[in-house]
Amino acid sequence: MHKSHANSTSTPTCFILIDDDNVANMLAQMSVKRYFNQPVIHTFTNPADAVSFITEGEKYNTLPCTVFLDINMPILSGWDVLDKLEKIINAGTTAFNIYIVSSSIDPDDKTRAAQHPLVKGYIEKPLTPQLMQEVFAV
Amino acid sequence: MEQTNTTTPLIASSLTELQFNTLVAHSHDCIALLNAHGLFSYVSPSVERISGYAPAELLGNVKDDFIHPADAPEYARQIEQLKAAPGQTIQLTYRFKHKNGQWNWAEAIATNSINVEGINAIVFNFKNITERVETQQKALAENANRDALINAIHDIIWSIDTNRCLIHANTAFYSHVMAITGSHINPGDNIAFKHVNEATAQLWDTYYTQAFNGIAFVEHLNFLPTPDGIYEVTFSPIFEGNIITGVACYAKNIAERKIADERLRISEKNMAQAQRIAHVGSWEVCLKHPDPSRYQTRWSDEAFRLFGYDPHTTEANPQLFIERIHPDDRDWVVNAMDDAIKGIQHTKIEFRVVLPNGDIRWITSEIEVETDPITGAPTKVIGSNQDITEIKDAAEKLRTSQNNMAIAQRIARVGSWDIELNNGNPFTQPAIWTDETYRILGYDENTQPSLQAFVDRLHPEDKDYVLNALTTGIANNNTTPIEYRIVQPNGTIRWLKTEGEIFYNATGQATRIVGSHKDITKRKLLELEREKVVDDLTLRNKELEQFTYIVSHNLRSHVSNIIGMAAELTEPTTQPDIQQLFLSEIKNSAQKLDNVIKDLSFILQHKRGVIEAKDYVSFAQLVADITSSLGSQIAEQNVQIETHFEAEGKTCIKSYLYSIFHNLITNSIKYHNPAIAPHITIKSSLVDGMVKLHFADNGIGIDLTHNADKIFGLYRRFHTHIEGKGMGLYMVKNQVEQLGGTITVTSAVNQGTQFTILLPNS
Repeated sequence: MHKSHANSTSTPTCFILIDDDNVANMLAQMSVKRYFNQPVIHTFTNPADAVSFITEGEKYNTLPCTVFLDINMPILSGWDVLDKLEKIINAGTTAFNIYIVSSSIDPDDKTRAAQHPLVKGYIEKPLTPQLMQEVFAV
Repeated sequence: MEQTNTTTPLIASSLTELQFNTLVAHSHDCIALLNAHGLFSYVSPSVERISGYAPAELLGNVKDDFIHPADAPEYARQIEQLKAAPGQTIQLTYRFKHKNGQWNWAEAIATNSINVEGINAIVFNFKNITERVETQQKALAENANRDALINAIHDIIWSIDTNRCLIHANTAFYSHVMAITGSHINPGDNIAFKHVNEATAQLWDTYYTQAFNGIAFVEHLNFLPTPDGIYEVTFSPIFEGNIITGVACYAKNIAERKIADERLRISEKNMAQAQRIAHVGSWEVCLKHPDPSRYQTRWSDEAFRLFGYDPHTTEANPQLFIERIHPDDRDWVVNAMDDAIKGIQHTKIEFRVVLPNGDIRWITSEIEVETDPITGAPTKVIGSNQDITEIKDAAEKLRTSQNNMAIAQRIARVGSWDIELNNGNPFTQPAIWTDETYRILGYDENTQPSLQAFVDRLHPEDKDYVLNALTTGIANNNTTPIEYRIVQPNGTIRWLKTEGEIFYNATGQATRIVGSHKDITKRKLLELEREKVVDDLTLRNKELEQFTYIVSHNLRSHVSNIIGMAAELTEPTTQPDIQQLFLSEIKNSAQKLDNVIKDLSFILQHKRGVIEAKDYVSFAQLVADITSSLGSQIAEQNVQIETHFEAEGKTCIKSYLYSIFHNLITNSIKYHNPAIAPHITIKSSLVDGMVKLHFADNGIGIDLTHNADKIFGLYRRFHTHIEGKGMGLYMVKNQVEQLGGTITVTSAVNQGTQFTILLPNS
């Protein structure tokens, strides 16, 4: 059900967490910290800030990066974020591994995620260490 | 005719004087002696009988004018000549004047006996021949007359004697013989040799022989080898007393008459045949008899047959005709005929006849009346009868069939049409429409059908579509039916389905298009309604689905937080401050979860439908109530609410309208521009039977470029710094729709937001 990680043997070190829900962000951060050793985590409750950060990130060479992106957010939804990122990231690049993290059970969301060139996988909330294991294990 | 007789003595020497005197006295002839001086020296007594003069009156006397002046010179010349020739005898013919003054013809024998001793005179022996001369002259005149007569005609006349020799003939005969034989014939010539061949000569000889037997007869013969055909020849024996002395023949060329006869016969035959084929009979009734029952009547053969009579065994009689007329038609037909005769007018009538076998036939009769050119009275009725039963039947069938078609078309709401395409402008070319086509297109029967008249009715939005379908249909022989709208003169819009068939000539040019218009308005409206229902249902379904997803998402997002935090709490490594935070957050999430369930219950309650009674709601009152309920919030924020209610209110479910107004007003306050005091304008008006409500504020606005379809979505929020569940506009939209209305929004960042609501004013 999950796409296998393109570079599963290497350890991701950079994470960008985008969710307007503080609690959800915090839980995701804790799960990442439990699964990976000393990850660099950037959390954003305002997706627009995350888009700016990623745009800047090209300059600061913080890549490669794993992105956990929520869908249901005010102003900019996860899809809107993807639209903006599409303009600055080449499709198929390994620099960004974007995962949709959502509590939506709308099959349209899952289909849309599966078809999106930038999206690596779809993760249902809550993002637990066990789930990290499933997604990132060899 | 002078005779020379020198030896004949005038007086026989042997006769006694007595004998001589007696002889002379009783002779018809008169004897006279003319002396050398030209005077009578002796005249016998018989002169008195011949000339009326006594001998004594003539002796020694010369009577002036005794000889006719026309004959006198010749007479004088002959006498002088005789005087000079003693012994000569001559004959003279001359006219002399009788004592009674009339001219008489005399014939005289005169002998010069001047030198004969004892006579010494010219001896005249003359007699009166007047009677004979006149007879001869008369005969000559008669002959001339006769010849003139027989030569004046072109028919051929000739006569022959018993020897088959020509006696007499006219010039036509001579020229005819010349034409046949190339030679001339004269009276007295045997005519047998004047035929071209032996067989012809034999044949003619047979006829001549027959005529010589004393019987006159007529034969039709050819004068071979003349090309001009047949002659009618009359052979008549010539009788002199009981004896046949010759045969008179009269030949008349009857070729032309024969041809004319034949032509007439053929023409009559053709006429009869034509009448028979056309079932036309002709008849005439001559009105020139005082007793109408004895009017002379003529019927053609076919006229008999039309009325069921045998032309060979039936006598024409008006009564027979009347008897055959159908009893229901008889009286008026007879009256119509009488009227035609009295009125002297051309009349045409149709009536039925009943034939002997019971068949009823339809007859059309045309009557013409001839009149006397002087009195103007009708003299003759001429008529023609025609059997029109088949025509009548066919017409009746056609009428029935057309009627049936019209009914069928009316029931099926189908009109058919027919357009010629290669006969000038196809748009203006007269077309053929059935009644139903007129009705469907909304034209009266006086309209000239044409393609243009049809095009004029097309709905403006469908005109190009139909014309294009027509053009490409003709070009590609594509007769796929099309459906489109027309606008009738009263503005009614009808849906039509048109199908056609296109006819092409040998060169592939479209010549004609025949088709039908079917009024499918009823079906089309149902179809459109069904489509709308399906669309609505699909939309509703989609909305319900979305609702489910949205609600479940909101439920799950809190549940997942609780699960996640609970898991962290069980981890021994979790820091105490995090544990405290999570315990508090779990309580918070549980509260939010409960809120979502309450919202759900609220929404479902509203979605259940309209259960509340309708009341009249005053918009001004509604705004006052809401303002009052908001209380201090209005005052604190210095909110200005401006209202213009052209439509003062409407009958409606009050709670819905309250909720709509409340949500929009509080939204305007919530999302006001912090730099300026909130100002809300609410207007109402009546537009096309709808109540239009307009809300406008001067707030921060929404960027609608990406969110136009999301603004009314459940749990949609567009601002992060202001508390909101994303349910207000969702509920507003739902309630507007529950009331049968629509809501639209216009907004831009820092430009304020405007909502327009249209509600049916029922």
